[in-house]
Amino acid sequence: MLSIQLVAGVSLLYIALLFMVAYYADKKREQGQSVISNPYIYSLSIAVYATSWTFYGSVGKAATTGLDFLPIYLGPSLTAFAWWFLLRKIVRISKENNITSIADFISSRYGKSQWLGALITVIAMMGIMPYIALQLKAVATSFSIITGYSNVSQAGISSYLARPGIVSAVILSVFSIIFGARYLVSSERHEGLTAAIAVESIVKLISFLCVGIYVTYFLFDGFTDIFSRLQTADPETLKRLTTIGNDKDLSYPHWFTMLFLGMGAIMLLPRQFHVLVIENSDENHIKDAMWRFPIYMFLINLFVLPVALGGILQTGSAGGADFFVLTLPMKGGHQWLSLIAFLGGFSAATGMVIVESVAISTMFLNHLVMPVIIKLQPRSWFPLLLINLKRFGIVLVIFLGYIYFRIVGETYMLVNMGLISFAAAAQFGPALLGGLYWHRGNKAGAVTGILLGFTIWCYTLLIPSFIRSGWWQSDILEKGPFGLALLKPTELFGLTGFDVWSNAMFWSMFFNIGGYLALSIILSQDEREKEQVKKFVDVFIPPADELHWEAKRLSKPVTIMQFVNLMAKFIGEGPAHTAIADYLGPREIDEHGGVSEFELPQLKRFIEKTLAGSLGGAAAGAIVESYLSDIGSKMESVYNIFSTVRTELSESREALSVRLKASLIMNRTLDLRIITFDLLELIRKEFKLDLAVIRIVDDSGVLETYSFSGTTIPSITERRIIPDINTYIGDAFLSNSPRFLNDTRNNPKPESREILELEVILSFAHIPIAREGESPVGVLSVFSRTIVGLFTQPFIDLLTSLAGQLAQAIKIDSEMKAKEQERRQKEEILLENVKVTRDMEIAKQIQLSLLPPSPPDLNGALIACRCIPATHVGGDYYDFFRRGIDDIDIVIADVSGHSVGAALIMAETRSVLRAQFHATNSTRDILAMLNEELYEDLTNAELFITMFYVKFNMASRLLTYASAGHNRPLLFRPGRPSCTELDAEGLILGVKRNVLFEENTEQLQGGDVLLMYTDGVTEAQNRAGELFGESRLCEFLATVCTEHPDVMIDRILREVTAFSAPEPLQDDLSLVIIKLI
Amino acid sequence: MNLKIEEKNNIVVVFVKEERLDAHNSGDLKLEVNSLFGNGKKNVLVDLNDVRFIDSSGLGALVSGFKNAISSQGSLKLSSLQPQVKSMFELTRLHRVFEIYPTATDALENF
Repeated sequence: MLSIQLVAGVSLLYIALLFMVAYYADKKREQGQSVISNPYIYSLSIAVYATSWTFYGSVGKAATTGLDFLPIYLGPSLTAFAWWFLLRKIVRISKENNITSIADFISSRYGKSQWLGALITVIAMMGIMPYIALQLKAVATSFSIITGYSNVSQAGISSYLARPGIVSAVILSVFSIIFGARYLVSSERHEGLTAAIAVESIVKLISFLCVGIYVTYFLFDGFTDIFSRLQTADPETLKRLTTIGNDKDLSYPHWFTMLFLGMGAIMLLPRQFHVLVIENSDENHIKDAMWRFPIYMFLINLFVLPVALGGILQTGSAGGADFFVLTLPMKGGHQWLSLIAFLGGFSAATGMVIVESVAISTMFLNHLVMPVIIKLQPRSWFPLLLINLKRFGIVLVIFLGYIYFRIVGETYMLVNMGLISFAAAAQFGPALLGGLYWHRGNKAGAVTGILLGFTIWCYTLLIPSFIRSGWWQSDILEKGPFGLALLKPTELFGLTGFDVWSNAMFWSMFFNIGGYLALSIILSQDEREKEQVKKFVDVFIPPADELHWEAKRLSKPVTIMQFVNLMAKFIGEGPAHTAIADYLGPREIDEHGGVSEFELPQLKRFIEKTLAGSLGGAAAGAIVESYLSDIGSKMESVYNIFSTVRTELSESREALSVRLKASLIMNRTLDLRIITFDLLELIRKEFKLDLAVIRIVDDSGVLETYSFSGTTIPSITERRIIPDINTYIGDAFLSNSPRFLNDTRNNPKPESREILELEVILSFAHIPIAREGESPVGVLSVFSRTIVGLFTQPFIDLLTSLAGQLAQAIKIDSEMKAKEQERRQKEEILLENVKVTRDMEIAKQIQLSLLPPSPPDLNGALIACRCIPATHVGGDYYDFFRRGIDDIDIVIADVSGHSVGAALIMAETRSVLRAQFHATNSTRDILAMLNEELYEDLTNAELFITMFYVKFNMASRLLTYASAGHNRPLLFRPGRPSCTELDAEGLILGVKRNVLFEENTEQLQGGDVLLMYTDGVTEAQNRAGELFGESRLCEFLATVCTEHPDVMIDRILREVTAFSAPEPLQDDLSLVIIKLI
Repeated sequence: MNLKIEEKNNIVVVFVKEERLDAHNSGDLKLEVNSLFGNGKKNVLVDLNDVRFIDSSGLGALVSGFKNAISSQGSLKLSSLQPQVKSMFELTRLHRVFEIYPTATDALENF
C-alpha cells in the first residue's frame, strides 16, 4: 500500500512534468521551431488511442472473454494501412479548408450545414460520455487500489469512490483547459498538447511493458510457463480464452463487429480525428505513422494475455481482472512497480480525456454555441466570451462523463463502456467516407443517416446501459417496449443470436447507410453543397484552368476594413489584422480601400476560411452571409456571357470563336480603318453591347476617336480626351490596365457620373490597347445600357487579348507609314543628290567648255594644253588671248577649293580677263586689275586665285610674265642640265587690295620648252605620302623634251597618274606646254 | 580635326595637331578660327608645328581667318612653319601677308 499523499504527490509531479514538456514545446514554437513536427511524435500522439481501456481493460477482457480484446487493436492497424489514401486526403482537405474537428469536416462537406454540425456534436458529446466515464473510473479505481482502498471500491461505497473520481475530473478539466483552450484558434496545431500526449504515450507503453515483463519473467518463467501452468490448473479456461468462434462473446460476427468498430474508431473518434488530422504538420508523417502506429499497438498488447492469465493463476479467478496490472505487482510486494503501473494508467486516461475534451469542446463551441452567437450583434468582448465558452465546453464534456460514470460506472467493465462510445463514433463513418469519395452524397442523406444510426445506437446501447445499471427501472430489455418483443433493444426486429454489439452495429449501420444512400440518390445537392463537393472529393485533382472563373459577384462592394472589423469581432483585432495582411500581400487595393470586383468573392472566401479556423466552417459561412445581407449586399450571378459551356481548354467556346473571328479580321487586310471597324462590330454584336469605341492617342497626347460601332452617342464618341487619372478611361490608359464598372449605380468616379447618368450607361469597360510590355497606343471602350455585371474576368481577359492584337495591327500600320515616309525621304535625298551631281556635271562641263578646246597656232612654236578635272568640280583655268599677229597672252590659274563656287569664280575670271586684257599691255597691270576686280567676290566666297600670266612675242621670242603666287613654270633649255623656274613677285589674288606685281622677261630660243601647270601635278602623292614635286617634274620633262608638246603632256599625265596609283588624282591637273621651234 | 587651343595673355594659340592641312580638315580650322574672332578674341596665333603638308584649301582657311582678323581689328599670326608649308607660303607670297614666327614662343613675345 502506498500513502494517498505519495500517490497524489507523484501524480501531481507527473502532471507538472507534462506541463513543462508542453510549455517547452509551446516556447519552441514561438521561436519558430517545432519539436513535434516529426513522424515519431506524430505516431506517438496517435497512440492516444490506447487509453485506460487498453491499459487496464484489455487485461480484464482477456481474462474474462479471451482473445476478443484483440480486434480493437487489429482494426486500427488494418485501417492504418489505408492511411496514405484515406487520411492524407482528409488532412489535405482539412488544411485547405481550415477544418477544426470531425463535425466541422462532415458539415463542411455537406454544404457547411449548421444542422449537421450540431447533430454530430451532440452525438459526439453523448457518445463519448461512456468513454470519459471509463477513464474517470479507471483513475478513480486505480487510485483507490493503489492507496489501499480496493476493498472499498469493490464494496461500492460511493463516498470514497466519488472523491478520486471528482478530483480527477477537476484535475483533468484544468489540465485540458491549460493545454487545449488557451487560444481560440483551433485549426492550428497545439504543440504543447501534442508533445505532452507523446510523452504520455511513451510512459504508458514503458510502464505496461515493465509490468508485463515483471509478470512474465519474474512472477512466472516466461510465456510458455504461464500457458502451461494454466493448462494444468484450468484447461477449460485456457481453451475458452484462446479460442474464437465458440460461444456468443467469441463468435465470428462478434469478432467482425469488434474489428469494424476498431477500424472506425481510430479515425472517427473526435480525439483521433484531432490528433490524426488537425495536429498533423506534414502529410509525409502519415507514411511513417502507417507502420509505427501498428507497432505501438503490437507492443502494448504483447503482454496482455500473459498478464491476464498470470492474474488468473495468481488470484484464482478473473475477478478484478481489469486492474491486474496494478494488483499483481502489489501482491508481489513491488510497490514502486505498481506506482509505475499507476502512472502508466494515469497517462493513458489523462491523454485521452484531454484530447477528447479539447476536440469536443471545439465542436461544442463551433457547432452548438456559434449558431446562437452569430444571431447576436457582434460585440468587442466576443473573443473573450468565445474562449471561455470553449473552456466551459471542456468542463462540460468531462463532467458529462463523470455523471455517466456515477450512473453506470459500477455495472460495466471498462471495455464495454468504451465500446458504446466506439459504436457512437462509427455512426459518422458512412457520411465521412461517402463524403470523401462519392460526389452524390448530399446533406439530406448525411443528416438522415447519422440521425437514424444515432437513434438506433441510443436505443440499442445507451438505454440498455442505463437500464442495466439500475438507474432506470424498465423491463424493455426482456419484453420489449409495450411488450413488443420485436422491438427488444438487444434483439431488434427479431434479430436474435447476436451479441449486443453486433445487433446494435448491424441495425444502426443498416439504417445509417441506407438512409444516407437513399436520400443522396433521391434528392439533389444545392449550389453550396456542389461547391464543397469539389473541394472535398476532388481535392487531389488540380483545377483544370488556372484562371479562376468568377461566376458570382457581390452586388454591393465591401471594403477590406469592413471585413477586418467583422473578423475582429470574433477572433480579436490582432489576429484579424495579421490574417488580412497575409491575404493582401502584393494585391492591389483601389482608392476606396477595396479590392477589385473579381477579388471580392475570393476575399469573402478567405474571410470565411479564417473565421472557420476559429469558429468552424458552418458558423463562419453564416456569419459572413448574415453580415453581407445586413449591409444590403449579396452574392449574385453575373451575366454569363460565355453561357455555361466550358471546354477542357481554359476558355469557353464563345471566347474561342470570338478570337478566331477577330484574327480573321486582322489578317484580312492591312487597312487599319477596316480592321478597327470590323473588330468593333464583332465585339459589339457578339456581346450585345450598345457602343464600342477605339481611340488612338495622337502626337499631342489626346485620345481621339478613331473608329466606333453602335449607337451614336456624340458626348462619348466626339469627345477628345486628355488622359486624366480621375476618369476611368484616363486611368485605364495611364495605368495600362483595364478599368471597368459593372454597375454604374455603385459609386462611379465623380468625374464620370454625369455623363454616365445622362447617357444611361449601366456598365462599361476601358481596355488599354497595348502590346505586351509596351505603353498603350489607345483605348478600346465598350458600353452597355442594358446589362449589369457584364464584365467578368474571362470577358475582360478576352477584351485585353483582343486589344493586344489590335495594338499589333496599329503598330504594323504605323510602321508601314513610317517606312513609307522614310522611303520618300530617301527618294528625295537621292533625287537631290542626282540633281547635285547633275549640276556638278553641268558645272564641270561648263568649266571644261570654258577652257579653249584647242591651243592656237603659233608661228615658230608648238603649243599644247590639257585639263584633267578631278572628281569634283575644280577651279583650274588656262586661256590664250591674241594681241595682233605676233603677240599672244597665255594665262594659267587655279581657283582654290573644289566647288561650284570655284567654277563660278573661274568663269568670272575668264570674263573679266577677256573683257579687260586689251586695256593694258602689261602683265603686272592685268593681274593688279584682276585682283581689284575680283577681290570682293573672292572675299565673299572665301576663295583665292593663283595665276601666272605670260605675254609672248613670236617675232622677238621675248617672254614677259607676272605671277600671283602661282606654281612656277619650268623652262627647259636644250643643253642645260636642269630647268629654270620662272618667278615673279606677287601675292595671290583676293587676299589684299592694291597688290603690286613684278613683271619679268625672258628671252627664249629655239628648242626651249616652257611648262606651265597647276598644283595638281606637283602635289600628286604616292602611297608613301611623297609629293610628285617640281624636281621630279623637271627631270621627267628633260626626258621627254624632244617630243611634240601633246605627247609630252600625255607622258607627264601618265607619269603622274602612275605615281599616285592606285589612288585616283585628288585635284585637277592642268598643263600648258610651249615648245619653240 | 585635332586642335589644341590655349589662351596666354589674351592671345589664343591654336595648335594644329595634324600632319596635313587640306580639303578634308581645313574647314574645321576655318570655323574654329572664325568663331574665335566671332567671340571677340582679338589675337590669334595658329601654330603649324605639326603640319607637314598644306594645300590650297589649308591656305584658304588661313586666308579666311586673316581677313576675319582684319575686319574685327584683330590679328592672326602664324608660327612654326615646316619646310613644305613654308615653301607654300613663299610661293603664294602669303608670307608677306602673314606675320610668321619660327616658334609659338617667339610669336607670343611679338603680339
